[in-house]
Amino acid sequence: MDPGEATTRGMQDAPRMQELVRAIADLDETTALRLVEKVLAAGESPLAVTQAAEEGMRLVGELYEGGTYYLSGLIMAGEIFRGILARLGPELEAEQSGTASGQVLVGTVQGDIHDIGKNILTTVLRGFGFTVRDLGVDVSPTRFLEEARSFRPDVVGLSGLTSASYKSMRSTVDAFRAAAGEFGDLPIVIGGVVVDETVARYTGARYWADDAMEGVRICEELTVR
Amino acid sequence: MTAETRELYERRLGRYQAAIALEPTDRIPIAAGSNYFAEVYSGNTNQETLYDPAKWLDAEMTFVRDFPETDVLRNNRLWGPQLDAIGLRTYKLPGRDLPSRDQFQFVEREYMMADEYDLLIADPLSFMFERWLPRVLGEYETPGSARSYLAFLKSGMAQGMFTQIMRNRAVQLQEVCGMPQPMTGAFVAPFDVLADTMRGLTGAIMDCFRQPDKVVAACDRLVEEMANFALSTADPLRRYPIFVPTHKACFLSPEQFDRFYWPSFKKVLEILIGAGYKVRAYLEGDWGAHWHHMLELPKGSVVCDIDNQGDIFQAKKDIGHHQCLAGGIQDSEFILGTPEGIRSRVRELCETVGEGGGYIIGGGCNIPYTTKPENYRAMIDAVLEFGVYSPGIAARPKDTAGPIEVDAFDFPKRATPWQVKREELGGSVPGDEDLIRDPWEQLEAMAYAWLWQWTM
Repeated sequence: MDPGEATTRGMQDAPRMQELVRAIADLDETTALRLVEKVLAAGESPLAVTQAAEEGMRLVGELYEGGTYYLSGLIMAGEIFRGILARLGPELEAEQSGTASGQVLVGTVQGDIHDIGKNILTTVLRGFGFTVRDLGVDVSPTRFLEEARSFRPDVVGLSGLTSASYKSMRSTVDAFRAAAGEFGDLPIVIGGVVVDETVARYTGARYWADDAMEGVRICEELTVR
Repeated sequence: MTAETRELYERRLGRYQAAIALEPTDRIPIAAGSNYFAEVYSGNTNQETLYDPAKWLDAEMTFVRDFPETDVLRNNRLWGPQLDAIGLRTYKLPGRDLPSRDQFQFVEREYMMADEYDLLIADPLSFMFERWLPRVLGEYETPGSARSYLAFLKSGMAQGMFTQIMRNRAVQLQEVCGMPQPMTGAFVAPFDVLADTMRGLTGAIMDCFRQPDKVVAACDRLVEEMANFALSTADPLRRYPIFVPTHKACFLSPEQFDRFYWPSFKKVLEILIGAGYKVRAYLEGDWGAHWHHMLELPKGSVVCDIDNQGDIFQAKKDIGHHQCLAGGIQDSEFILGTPEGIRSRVRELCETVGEGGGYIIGGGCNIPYTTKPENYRAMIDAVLEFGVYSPGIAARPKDTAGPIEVDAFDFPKRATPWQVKREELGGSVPGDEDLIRDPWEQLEAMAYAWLWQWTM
């Protein structure tokens, strides 16, 4: 089966939708955006286009995991995906609710203002169908808890680049554990290039990832329904 | 300097230089390039390190007293008042923007727009003054205002003060502690100029896909600028390598690296090596797909610091026979680990990466601020136990002094060379031209280098 065929079967213009999936997977932005215009003109729904774009992102993720693409590929794919969503406009958001893979709350922990890793993760998670609330950088434990209260995430992702982020990750994990009555055993994933098993043990987080796609796969596993 | 201190200085420097040149040493040098731990060792805050040179120096002198086996401590760093004078927006500083004990952090934004490559390539100085500097330097946000003129004046004065501070530090560390520096002078790879302080990572990556030829042309255009800045800030005596942190190579595929990153970076490296310098390159992130290129440069010319994400054992196999490697201990081990864990890691490193020399022990491009003192001590003790090659070897510092000669361009670069000024004066001067020309050229060169430091 061609890439994207499963997703695009039954659509108004399945061959073009497959081309769209392929263009995203090839990181061919010009072709992808041109195809989006064509399939919309042919009557495809914004939701169907989003699903094709997500399929393209999944292929990019696989190519990254297989070593064909590097982080630059994930970044470019994220920009293409973002461009397509921007074209589809606000009606998409209403339509999309309820179809997402799961909800992930992410932020760079207090005392750290680096956002490259977090942004890559956020974009790829969205490409994989997750609904993501991105709290930005320098996020305090209190704010993580407040946002978790309103957003009800399936997973919380704590990002950090500096080694000083270890302590903030730990305080955030502690804060969630102290509020276990409210949040139960809500999974927390710490992520960043400075993170490893030792850091995970120190912070008390059960999951860790030093790579964006690993982070996405962990979120997938944690949200299997 | 006492004879004893001089001997200590020369033993340390000789050991360091020999390891870089892949020559025999008595033991593995303990010579991290960025020893953040030492900067705050006496209990001073990170703000004090950046704002109070006396406290910074005191921290490091205390550190040397307690860890005298350390071979180098660095000098070229930021000085808060100088950044304040010009309103540099690319850093958040402890005490000013962050809690006093936090570390300074880089602020990456799109300071150059996607359609500004042509101007950068055609006329870098106009690009800087008209587009880029007003966005990067807060005090120059409104060019032509009284405040903007005063900011340049203040920053120039601050530069002079900073130079004095650094000179004093270097003298104190050398004369009192017998301590050489790991590097002096710096630059960043041309692609990193774009991807750090100009377009930012996402912008630069998109440009690689959307307007690749312009990215390549801009990187080529920046070769001279980076080589000029590096040589302008380097140790005139060439005792210490020139520093280059490589920030964004780890995001690129090998094809992208080969097209966008390496050619211009290699040109800068070749200019510096051709001028008689060694380079200390932080291969930040995982350079596993790229570091084989270091084989293209002369043997023993570039110290390659392997980051936490890199596999230093693989690096030893791939390039360790050709370039000196540094690093090997994870940040998390220094901060959260135990002396036993460090000892075991150091033993492994000494027995593998250290085999045959050309290895400097340390962390992944740094010793973290929050390193446990007992872990740093454990690293030293383990090197003395497992990292000794031959105690009888006493490598001496190399004779590296001499004038800087550059073939690639007219070094040092100036905005208004003396010839132009002389024409404006009527083509000749009635008195001794040298007395006028030399300081003119010197100030031009200093001002030109000052401009480019904001790309670091």
